[in-house]
Parts: sequence; C-alpha cells; structure tokens
Amino acid sequence: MFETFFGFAIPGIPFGCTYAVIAVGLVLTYQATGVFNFAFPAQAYAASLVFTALIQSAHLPSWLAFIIAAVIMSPLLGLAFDRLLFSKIPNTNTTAKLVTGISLLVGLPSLLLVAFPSNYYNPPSLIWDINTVYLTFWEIPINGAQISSVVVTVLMLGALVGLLRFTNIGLQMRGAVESRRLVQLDGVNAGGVVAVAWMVSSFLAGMSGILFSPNFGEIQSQNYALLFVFALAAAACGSFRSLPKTAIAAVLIGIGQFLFQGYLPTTGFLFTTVLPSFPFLVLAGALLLMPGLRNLDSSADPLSSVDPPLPPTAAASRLPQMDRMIKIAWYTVLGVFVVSMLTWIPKDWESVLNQGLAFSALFLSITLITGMGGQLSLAQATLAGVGAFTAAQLALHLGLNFLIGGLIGAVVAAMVAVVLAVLSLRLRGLGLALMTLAAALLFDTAIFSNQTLAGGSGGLNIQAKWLGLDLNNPNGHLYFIVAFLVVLLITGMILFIRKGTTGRVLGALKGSETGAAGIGINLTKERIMIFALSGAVAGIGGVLLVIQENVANPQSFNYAFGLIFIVIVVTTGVSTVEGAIQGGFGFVVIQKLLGYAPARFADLTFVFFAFGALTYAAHPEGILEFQKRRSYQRIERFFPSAMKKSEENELAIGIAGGVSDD
Amino acid sequence: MSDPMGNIMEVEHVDAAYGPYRALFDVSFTIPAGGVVALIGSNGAGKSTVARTITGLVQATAGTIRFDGVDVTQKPAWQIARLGVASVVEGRGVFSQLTVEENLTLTFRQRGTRKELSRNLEKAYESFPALGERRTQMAGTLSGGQQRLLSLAKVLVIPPKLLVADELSLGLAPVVIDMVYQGLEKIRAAGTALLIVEQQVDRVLKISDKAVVLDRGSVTFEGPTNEAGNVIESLLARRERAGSTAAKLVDEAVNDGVDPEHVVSKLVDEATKGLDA
Repeated sequence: MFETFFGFAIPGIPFGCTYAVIAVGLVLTYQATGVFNFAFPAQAYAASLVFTALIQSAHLPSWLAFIIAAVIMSPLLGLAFDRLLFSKIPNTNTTAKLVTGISLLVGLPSLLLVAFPSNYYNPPSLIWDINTVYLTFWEIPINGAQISSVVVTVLMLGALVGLLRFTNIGLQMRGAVESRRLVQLDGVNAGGVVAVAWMVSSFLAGMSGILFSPNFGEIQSQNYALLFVFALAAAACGSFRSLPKTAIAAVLIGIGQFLFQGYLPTTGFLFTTVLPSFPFLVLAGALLLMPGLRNLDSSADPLSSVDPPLPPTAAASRLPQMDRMIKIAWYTVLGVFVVSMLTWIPKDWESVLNQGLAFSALFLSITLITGMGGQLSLAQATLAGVGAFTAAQLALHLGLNFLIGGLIGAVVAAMVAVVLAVLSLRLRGLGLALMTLAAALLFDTAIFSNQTLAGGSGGLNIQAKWLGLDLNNPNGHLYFIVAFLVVLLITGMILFIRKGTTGRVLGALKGSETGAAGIGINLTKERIMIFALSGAVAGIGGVLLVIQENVANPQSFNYAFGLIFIVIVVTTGVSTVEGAIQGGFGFVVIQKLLGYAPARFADLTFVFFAFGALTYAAHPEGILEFQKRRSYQRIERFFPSAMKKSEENELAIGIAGGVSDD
Repeated sequence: MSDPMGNIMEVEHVDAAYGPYRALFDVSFTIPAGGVVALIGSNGAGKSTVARTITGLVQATAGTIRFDGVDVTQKPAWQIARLGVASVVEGRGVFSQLTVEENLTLTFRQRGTRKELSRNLEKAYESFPALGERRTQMAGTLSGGQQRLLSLAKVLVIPPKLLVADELSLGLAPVVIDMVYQGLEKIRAAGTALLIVEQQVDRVLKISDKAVVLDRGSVTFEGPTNEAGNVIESLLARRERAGSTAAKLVDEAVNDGVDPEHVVSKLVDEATKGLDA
C-alpha cells in the first residue's frame, strides 16, 4: 500500500519543485516590486529559446549559452521591463501593472517567433541529463531533470529567504514595494533597489526556463504558460507573501496531481474533467478561502497623492464647437461606412469588417466592466463562449432559432458572470483578476474541451437552418445589418447608462468604494449588476462571432484570448465606447493586412496591441485617447477665442477633482 | 556648509505642478540654519506641495531650490535625503508592512553605519519607550500617535540638517500632540533646522522663529511670527466673503434656470475675482 502511494507521490515531487521555482520567483517579484509579473512565463520561454538556439543553431557550448541567456540576457530583460515600463506606473495603479504584464506575456512570445522562426526540439539539459537515471526510490527511477528541480528549488529558496529577511537590500526592497517615495525620503535609491529586484527575479525566470525545458519535447510558449498556472496556484496558497509556504504548496500541488492521476479511474469524470482543472480549483479555492488574498494591493502608498490625477477624456475636454464638428464627422463616417458596406466593399473585406463588428460588441463588454465599473475581468472571452455555446446547444438539441438561443445564451453568460461576481465579492484588483483568470481556465479545461458541450477541438458548426434568416449568404448583407444594429443598440445602452444615475454610481465606485459606500451606494448590488450586464454583452458578442465564423470553436474563446482582448481594448481606450469599436475593427484589419506579409509575421497583431498597451503606463486613458486629446489641443490653438472656455473647464475639473493636496 | 547669510535652504521663484495642474506659483522663502520656520495656510494653499517640492518628491517646473549651498532643484528625493534633509510626511509616514524595528533599521542603515545600528535602535527605544515595547509589531497596526512617534524617532536619533514636518498634529489627541511637539523641541535642540507645515497656527507659531503664509499656491507673507496671525485672519475673512459670493451666485443662477455648466463657469470667474479683491 505504501509502496503504491509513494510510487505515485515521489514523481510528483520534482514537478512540484518545478512549480515552486516559478512560484517563488513570482512571489519575489511581487514582494520586491509590487508587480504581479504576468510576463514571467514569457521571460522563461525567452531564455530557454535563446539558450537552445545558441546550442543547436550557433553551436555554442552549453555553459556559454547559459551565461548569455540566463546570466546576461534575462536580467537585462528584467531591467528593461523595469526602466522602460513598470517604473513609470504609479505603485497604486494595479490595473496598469497587470495590463502591462499581460501585454508582455502576449507580445514577447509573438515577437520571439519572428526573431526565431525555427522550431527547436529536445532542449538540452544544463546540469544533469534527463535521460540518465541517477537514483531510485521505491524502485522509482529519478532522472537528471528531476534532481535538478529539487536541488535548484532548495538552493534558491534558501538564498531568497536570506536575501529578503536578513540583508539591507532585502529590507529596502520590502520598503520600496509599499512606497517608493517614502523609502526615498530615507535616502534609499528606490529605483536602483527595484531594478535589482527585477534583475534577480528575471534571472530566476530565465534559469527556471532553461532548467525545465528538457521536460518538454519542443520549446513552446504554451508549455511555460501552463507551468505558470500551477505556480500561480502555489503562490496564492502562500498569500503571495511567504516564500516557504509557497514552495511547500507547490510541492504539495505536484504530489497531489500525481496521486490523483494514480488513484483515479482513467475513464471517470473526475479524471477527464476535474483533474485537468486541479490547479485552477486550487487557485480559486485559495482566493476564496484565504483572508490574506482579499487585501492584495490594499497597502496604499501614503504618498500616492503625489501622482497627478487622471486627465479627463478627450471628449470631456474638447470645445463645444469641436464637439459639434466631431459628432458631425462621426455621423458622416458612420453613413459612409454603412453605404460602402452595402455597395462597393469587396466581399473578403466585408467579411473582415463584419468580424470587426462582432469583436466590437464583445469588446464593449470590457468597456462596461473595466472602463465603467473599474473591475478587471480576464474572463470576457469565456463569457462570450458561454453565450455562443449555449445558443449552439439549444439549436442542436431543441431546434431553437440561433438568434433566440443567442439571447438566452446572453442571459446564461450574465448568470455565469453573476456567479463569478458573487464568488469574488470580497476580491479587488489583482485578486479579482486572478479569480476571473481561474474561471476562464476552468471553463477551458472542463467545459470548452468537452466533446458533448462544445464539440471537442473542432467545435460546433453553425448550420444554416439554425439561423432562420439568410445571415451567412456570401452574396447578401443581412449579417452586416443585424450585427451593425446590435452594436448600435449596445453602444446606445452603454451611453444611456453612463449618462444616467447608474453611470454616476459606477463612477463613484471606480473612484472610491469606501466613499461610495459612505453615501449609501450598495456596492454588492452595483458590482453584481455590472458583471451581469457585461456578461450579457460578452455573450451577445460571442454569438455574433460564431455566426460570422460559421463555427463555435472553443479555441476562439480560450483564456489567452481573454488576456489579449483586455490588452486590445486598453490600447484603444477602455473608458470610451469608440475605444472598444476601434479595437474591434483594428484587431481584424491588422490581422487581414498581416495576411499579405510572410507567415512568420502573422502573430504580429498581438505585438502591435501589446506594445500599444505598454503605453498604458504613461497614458492610463489609452494611447488613442491620449492622441485624440493632444490633437484636440492642437486644433484648439486655431480657436484662440475659445481657449478661455477650455481653461475654465480645466480649472473646474481641477477643483472638482481635489487637485489641491493639502 | 550653510550659506554666508546663514540660510540652510533657499527657495527662489519656484513653480510646481501635478501633471497639467499647477499648484505653486513663484514661491520664494528661506530657512535659516538651525531655525524653525512655520509654513501655514488654509486647505488647498499648497503647503504640502511646498514640502514635497523641497524634498524632491515633486519636481519644480521653474525656479531654484538650494540646500546647504547645493542646487537640489532637479535632484531626486533620495539624493536630497542623503544631503541631510529628513521628512515626516502627512498622515501615515511609516512602512505599515514592516515591523517597528525594521522601520527604524531601514532609516538608521542609511544615515548611520552598520556598527552603530544597535546603539541607534536602543537610543530610539529610550527616547520613545512605547516603541521599544512594540519593536516586533507591524507598524501599520500602531495607533496614529505611535506611528507619528516612530516617524520622529527616525530623525531624533540621527538628527538631519533640516527636518520637513508635514501636518504633524493632524488627527492626533492633544496629549499626543504635546509629545510630538516635545520631540520637535529635542530635534531642534540638536541643531536641526525645521520647516513645520501646520494648520494649527497658534501651536506652531509658538515654537517658530519665522512664518511663511501661503495662499492659493503663492507666498503672501514671510516674516516674524507675531505678524503672521493678522495675515491669516485677513485671508480667512476674504475666503468667507468669496464663499458668500459663490453661494449667492449659485442661488441666482438656479433661480434663473441657467444651464449648470454656465453656473460653474460663472462661479469660477466670480469666485476668483472675489478672492483677488
């Protein structure tokens, strides 16, 4: 009995140690810089890719490749992240920090694929050979990679605990994460301290990538993303604070995973559905049950008021004359667009722009929840999938018209969003983002991969008879008309909400939940309402998307798209409806244009938006929104008589926003 | 070294802003070496911005700031701190996630040597026994008064050349305010110059050598403390008049059914005129 138990458990230990190295690296970055580094797997991927390429293509010895990839490149990458991006983000702006990390997670692998177009297989071992058995326990062979995992984890954990707890720079790092400004008043070069933290954690990312790449047959960024999710669960169990607890949790997750694999019957529901979701369930469980995770990012910088207030939106700060001009221009563009779509635009481009409309609807759900509600949800693609698959299932099994099913799908997506809102009522910022990410991952593995529910990897084909209308006739324009009206309706609804009491309530919530509660606003009700609305809109977007693509494919709604969608909308402007619509069209048009370029550039769409989103650090209103305001200001110079009005506006906004600090 | 006129700090024609919003306009004053200057003014006058600008937290957009003969206008906060400027910031000025001892250690390792650390810690605990009893307690769990004492303990043990203290008495019980001011007296006795930003005018003027009065981001008075009280009273009276004017305008506008946007514009115009009068 014990032999069987240990037979299952022992192989889990090295895997657990693998998760531990990454999880501890994550916690170190979070503890020392205040940034939850979503780019960690991208950094690990970059180091292992460069390491393997240097050995297999440039034929360098492995020690030299390690020095270049892990000791030089990785810390420099971390330094660049800090100096160019994260150091510019105010410590209290959780959304900006998360979105910047996600942008790097999305953009860096795509960029690397352009630089390293070859596939690299069988990454080499650095220390002990993966194919050599060095030890046996209970007749279980332990290979070099497994020994590496355990040894590196123990050494690294000891070194990091020592660094943070017993050194002066460790103390400075812990001070800097709370307030870089306050630590500077003590004479500490906070920028230098945080840069060192980034370099150390990036070295760890690179080293973990290189050490564990032999476990994968091929170097692929998805492998590191999967490791990252396991590590995330472990880091959550350590409350993103305790390195030893994180490491122990990671090892236990590794052991637990192997024990379940060993004991569960391979054909049962638990094995096929629950086991793959094990790390996400652990992550969600930790977020729900551990009180320490409810207060992530709650230690506000006492000097946060030094940061300048957010500028008003471009629309709010423009002159009345210009306001009228812009409105006329918008209506003209809209008219020209509609007429063009119905007359001369080629069919392949009409199809692309139709897809843009579907994405616009989906992205408007992000405008609702993040732009208006101030909540960062990483599960919007999942909610879109819920809407789409519900409609498809209702059509498939009950013969219900797909459009009516789509409305029911939107309601189901709203209900899922409500469940998510209720589960994460006590979570804010990072905690909420991680909970929505866990939900997205859970749906990917448990629902969207299910043959019966989502049609397996090929998805469910949308049959013409389901639609009732001739929506997908390539010679007609019916899809365009329906999608256009839907987007128009959603846009109208959002503008109506924004201008009404609910919009003001949401604005109050976004500004200060404590303040909003103080004036009698029911936080729970408002939060659930915005989740439900956003879920319904995402569901409608998903339905439009699958009708346009003629297939409800689970791959279109996986968690990675949830991350990409956030990055896109943040780039184009998360607080305005035109930002979401521009994002929707920009996404498909850039993809279409890149289709004319060599295949290696196909993934550059993500890079465009990822690098656009990186400007979020400097311009939290979105780079397009920033450029719009700047353009308006330039135009204002030609209307000197109206300048007085603009200054008054600015002064009034300043007074209303409490610019005065004391 | 201080300049020949005996000033440890000279602020000349300084402007400062938070992004696009200007907060200081042509601010000039001096702080004598070893002297105590009270920086007073009403809410929104720009007092904290002055404190932040001279400590490097907010960069001046115009003008010059010299500390001990060195131009520090564009220097980052940590370099200014290393020249000998310490700061006790408004509100919670301690690292809440670090223990009392770690808070003190962080400061003492920067201002003193490693060998002196134990001695400096003991000195801090002797001066403020309440902190000694809570040395392993997270600073965020201390009371407001204890957090203030912790902030002062950091500067009392290794006195800086200049201490900038921002709203020290804010939200504290009178008995704690007494302790805080006793701490300031001790720091002054060690030869440290003080810039005390305060709203409690009476209290701060008693220990100050001179006063600087700010109004809407500009210095309206710099001189002996006994004259500052009159200036403050005159400012308050003007503010009250402006407030009445504003209220009257709102009433008139609402009664006339004017567009709210125009009410705000007119209000800003008239209120500004009222203050300039």
